[in-house]
Amino acid sequence: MITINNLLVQYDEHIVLNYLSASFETGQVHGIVGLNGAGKTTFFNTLGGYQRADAGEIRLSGKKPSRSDFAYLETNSFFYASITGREYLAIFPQSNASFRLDSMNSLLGVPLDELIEHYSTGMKKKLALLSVIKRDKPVYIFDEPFNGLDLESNKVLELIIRNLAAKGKTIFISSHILEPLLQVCQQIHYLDHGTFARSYLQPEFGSISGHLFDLLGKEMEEQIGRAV
Amino acid sequence: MFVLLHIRLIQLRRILAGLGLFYSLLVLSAALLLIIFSYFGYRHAPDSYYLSGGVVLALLHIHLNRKDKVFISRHLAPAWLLMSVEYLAFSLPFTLGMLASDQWYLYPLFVIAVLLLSRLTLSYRSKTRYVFLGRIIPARLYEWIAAGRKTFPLFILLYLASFALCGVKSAPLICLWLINGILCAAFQENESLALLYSRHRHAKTFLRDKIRSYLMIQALLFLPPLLLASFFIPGWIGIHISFWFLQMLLLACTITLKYKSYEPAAPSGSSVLMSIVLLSGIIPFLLPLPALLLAWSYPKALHQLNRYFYDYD
Repeated sequence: MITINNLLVQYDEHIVLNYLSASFETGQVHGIVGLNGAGKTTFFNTLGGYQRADAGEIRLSGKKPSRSDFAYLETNSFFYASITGREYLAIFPQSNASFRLDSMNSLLGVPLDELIEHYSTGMKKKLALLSVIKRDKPVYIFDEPFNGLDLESNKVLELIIRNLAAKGKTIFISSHILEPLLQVCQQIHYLDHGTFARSYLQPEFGSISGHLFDLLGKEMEEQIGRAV
Repeated sequence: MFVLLHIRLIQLRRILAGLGLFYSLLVLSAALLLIIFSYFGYRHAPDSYYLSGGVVLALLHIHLNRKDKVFISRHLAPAWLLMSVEYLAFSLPFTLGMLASDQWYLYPLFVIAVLLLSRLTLSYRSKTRYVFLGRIIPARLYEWIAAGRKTFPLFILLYLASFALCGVKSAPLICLWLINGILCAAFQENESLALLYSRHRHAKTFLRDKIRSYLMIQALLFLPPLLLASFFIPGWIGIHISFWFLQMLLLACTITLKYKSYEPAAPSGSSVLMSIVLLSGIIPFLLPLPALLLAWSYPKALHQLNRYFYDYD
């Protein structure tokens, strides 16, 4: 179980994670949805150890986690200039014994011997994905992994996530599009104003779209009412 | 006409504000020194011609490499004029000396050259070259894979020259100093957190290993030509040892300066200081600067890295 207690993250006066508390079952795929600015990326950054929390604690199976427990695919990965994709991947030590770069790349088709600055957005995303899955970690975080991917790579990513889940890994995914989350997640959590407003289990997925659009619609109406 | 210049001045002001008063004064002193040096350089032909040509070539290089050219030409008009104004303003530390000298008549020619080069719409196109560099340099030293790739022919030519000229007193030292400049310039870009965390869990071991690995590669590169030079000019052994020590200091100082102002995936906030440190290798009264800056910036770099290498609270 991953337990989060009263997590507070703020930038100056602006509170992003508002004493967030939640529990996530390990070995499951958790989808995180929410409007822009709801705090999804900050939540992932804090969970993955990329962002220090101002208060609160995170526990992984009852213990204080280490950054090395997490593999994190960021929304926008940064790549050092003038190095090739293969050189970039070599920077990360391989801990996933079953990872075969050539086999995996035959599915993704990343031009590994080209300079990364020549890559398209989708290619960069796939390269970052390769760097994440070559590491064997108990928890994987994918922030907007489907952004920029073509249809075929979307399918490959879905299969990778299913494969990791089958190995007992805990996976967190966010997406602006609900459809892929419905395909791969066991639970979907709705993040609103820095706290989890609601969680949906798989049997409730049929109604999730309606619920979410109701919630979002109400919020939008309120915002428009305040603005106009 | 002054839109770009205005933006650059805002950027410059922010850089100077970030440096603080002491380093701002140091940067301004360096600019003043350049004006004085260029004044002496422009006093006599043919030095003045070489100097003017050098500045034009440097501007041409900047122009062919700049990435915002398409943006400027699409959204700002007239793009060539805006860029010319920018080039003329930022080359002032080199050209003020020209205007104040007897060779002032070169300035109109210089302006014409700048106006012409600003109209060039060509850009360098980067290609994937020298893939073998990634096989001979360990991946964790990616800064030098990138530096080697960007400057490969020049780099190897300078290195070969340091051997070929080892019978000439200061020639190999100049070549190696230029190589060190290329290697130090590679630290002007900050890596992402994913790269920072790729092999280390603590700031102290990260910084120590980083400096140690780069110093080792530097020693592997620099010692053979220096040993050969000492063989040919035995009286210069002391100078060669001091030179090697100074280059080590310059490199270690550059690395600590980079991490002193480390922000994930952003350009280094210490670029100006790094350039001054590198110049200190050839300006005698600035020689103690790298040692002082290393001692000052090492704990600051550790402190800054600890902001990212924290443990879960």
